[in-house]
Amino acid sequence: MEFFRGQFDYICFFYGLAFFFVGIICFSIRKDSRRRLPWVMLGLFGFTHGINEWMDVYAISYVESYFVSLVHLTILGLSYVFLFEFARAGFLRAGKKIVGAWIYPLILIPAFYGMRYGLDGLNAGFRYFIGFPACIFSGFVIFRASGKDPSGRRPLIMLGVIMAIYGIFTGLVVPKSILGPSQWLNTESFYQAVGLPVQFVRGTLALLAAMALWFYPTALTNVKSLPRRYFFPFKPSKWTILLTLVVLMALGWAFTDYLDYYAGIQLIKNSKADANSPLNRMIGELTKLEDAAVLISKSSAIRSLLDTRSPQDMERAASLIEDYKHKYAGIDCFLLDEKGMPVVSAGGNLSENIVSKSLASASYFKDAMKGKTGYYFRPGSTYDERVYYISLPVKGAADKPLGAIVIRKNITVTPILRYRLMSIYITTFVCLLAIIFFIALRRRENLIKLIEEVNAELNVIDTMKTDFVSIASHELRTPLTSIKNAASILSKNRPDNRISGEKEKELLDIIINNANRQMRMIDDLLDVSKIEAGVMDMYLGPVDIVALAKETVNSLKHHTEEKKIKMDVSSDRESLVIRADPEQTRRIFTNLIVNAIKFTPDNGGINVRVEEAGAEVRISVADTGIGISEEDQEKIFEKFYRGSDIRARRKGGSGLGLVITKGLVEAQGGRIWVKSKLNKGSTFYFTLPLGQGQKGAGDERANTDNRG
Amino acid sequence: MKEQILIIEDEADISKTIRYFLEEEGYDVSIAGSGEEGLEKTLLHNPDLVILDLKLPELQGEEVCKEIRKDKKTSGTPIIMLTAKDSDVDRVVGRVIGADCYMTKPFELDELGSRIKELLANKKADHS
Repeated sequence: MEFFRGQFDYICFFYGLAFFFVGIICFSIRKDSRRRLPWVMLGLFGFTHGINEWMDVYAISYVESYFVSLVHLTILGLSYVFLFEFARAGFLRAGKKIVGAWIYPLILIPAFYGMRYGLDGLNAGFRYFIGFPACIFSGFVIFRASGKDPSGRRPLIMLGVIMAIYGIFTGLVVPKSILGPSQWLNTESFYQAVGLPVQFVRGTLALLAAMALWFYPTALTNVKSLPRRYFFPFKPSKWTILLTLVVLMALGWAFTDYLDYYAGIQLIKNSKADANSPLNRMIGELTKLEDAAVLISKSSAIRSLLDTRSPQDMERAASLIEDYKHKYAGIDCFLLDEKGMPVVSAGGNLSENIVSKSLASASYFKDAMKGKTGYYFRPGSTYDERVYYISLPVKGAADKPLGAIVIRKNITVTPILRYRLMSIYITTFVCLLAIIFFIALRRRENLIKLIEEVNAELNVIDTMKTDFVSIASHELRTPLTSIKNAASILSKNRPDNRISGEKEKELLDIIINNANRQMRMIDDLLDVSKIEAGVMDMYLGPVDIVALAKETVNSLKHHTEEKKIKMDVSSDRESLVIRADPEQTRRIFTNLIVNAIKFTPDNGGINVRVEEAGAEVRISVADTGIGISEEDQEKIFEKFYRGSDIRARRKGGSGLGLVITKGLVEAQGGRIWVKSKLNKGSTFYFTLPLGQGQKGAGDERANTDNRG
Repeated sequence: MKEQILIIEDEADISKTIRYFLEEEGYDVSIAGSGEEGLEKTLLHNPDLVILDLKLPELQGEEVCKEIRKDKKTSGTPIIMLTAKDSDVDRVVGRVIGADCYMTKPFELDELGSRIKELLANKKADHS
């Protein structure tokens, strides 16, 4: 635990970096995923919160001026506002308007009221009134969105839970101030109770949040521009990138700690620079402290105290230590026994918990027990605590260390911290470069994939278009050929009238039938192009769908008589009024029922069923016909597809009926599909929205499929 | 003896009108509604000339044409290919697969008549 306390600056750095990750990943989430959640807002929160944490690293190493502190706090407050807006806008996008923008004055005023208790009060105010509700609120919104996003369910649940927990540690465990409960529950009391800086817990949560986002399916896929040059023949997976970043951060930490050690030993021992430089003044001060520690450690009172623990020795040792404390202003001095337990101490602000705790794990104690002089620098768990330790062994007979004398002094600024800070900056820079590099790689990879996909799609569309033109021309030329042939035979016949009256009638019928056929073909082609262009006119009005089904079935009954097909309508409702276009809906019914009659053999049956299903009405047209093979089921809604089965081809028709039917259903906001088994029969289903109380049809018109 | 012509065409109205026309011209005309039926009739009756639609269900016109060319007995039978596709690719395909000529729908019946006359005359010249 003491270890974490010694790495406080690095903890804050990695905490900030984790939130920077959150920011970067949020911005890389594909645009279509932003419809559900305003990821950009969460990204802004990540960036600002990360910067706020990095300013903490600065504040540990240098003392912030009042102005810098104010900027620091403003950034913190701003980050929470971004988070709050993320949650608020997320709720709006889910279609729930719960909190309007009026909430901001309500949370900002009490937050700024904390200013009355100084900057720490303002800090606490921001955390209580903006940070805490923002975290809980956004956690809830993310958790809620996970239900509607099956592919991203797990990452979203994880992120939602983390955000809520983060709310407790960032919004309730605040810096100590006089404002409200921060007097009891604050970062210091947290450290005392748990033994870990709260920043460590927050940083871990931030890292988990970044990881959850990392595995969100459309993360890192936002393609904006292709990197101009690309030399790297390596496709990194998400795991590779993660591992690389972890290794980089571990190296950064090792480097930081090495520089700490280097500065501690080399600067103090070997500096031959100007005696008046701040560094040497500090070294001089520390050398004096070391001399003092040497003297104390050699004092007989101390040695005999460790041997005997008699009350007289205790008193002598205490007064000796007290003397030194007066001689060197601002030091703490305490004596540890061979188990690292404090025996006696002097000094104003040596807190009680240190007195009762064993310090056996501290490096300065271990060094001393090895017979060496121990140096130790600790950034502390709050910004004001920058402490330097010097320890010396108290040697008994035969040079055996009996315990250690430790001198501790608070220092405002140390060159050591600056060395650590430099290393942290370097690590930040390297990590950010790595992130940018990886994202560029992935973007390129994604872009290539996207181009390939689009190309394949375009090829399909191109082939479809060519097919469409050639099939359409075939379908139009065929009846024209019959008309032209029949007419030219009749025309030639004129002078001598060799053709019998019966034959003449047959030829005239051929002309009429084929002219009709061509007209139907042209009508259908026009409808298809209207549907594809999305300009099919829909005039929505109240339609009793049950009555319409019965009416259509009755009007088509005469087609079934010849084949002795039984046809009926069933519904649980007497009538069901929806908003739809009555004429086009009738066409949907007619097309499906005529198809069913066409493909149902003699003595078969057709059943039309109307039922309410949630906010829709679902209509099924089931026949006992020849059925559709599974392969064909996918294609029957495509243009000119009449099934690979020769029996289906002989039935005639434009090959556009189902395309138009599908277009009419979708233009009204419905869906259409088919279930079928070869030789058993087919059931066509379609849905239409009930649409009660809906006025405009404009939105629904946009549903017309216009990809073709 | 009347010359025998077989029409292989799935559109009944088209084959019917061609048939009426050719009967007036003095040919003996029979009709097949699918590729299989047409191939069977060709190989069985060995007609003097075949009018073949390119786009047939199941067995396509080009397949029928290839099969007719494969059989020694019918390899010299003139074939007129009917097509609705106007593109050059299809004309080339008509040559490649071995039809003697092609006509694009809709066509002039008189033109069809003169082509038939021409092809039958060529055939006779080859044999004699």
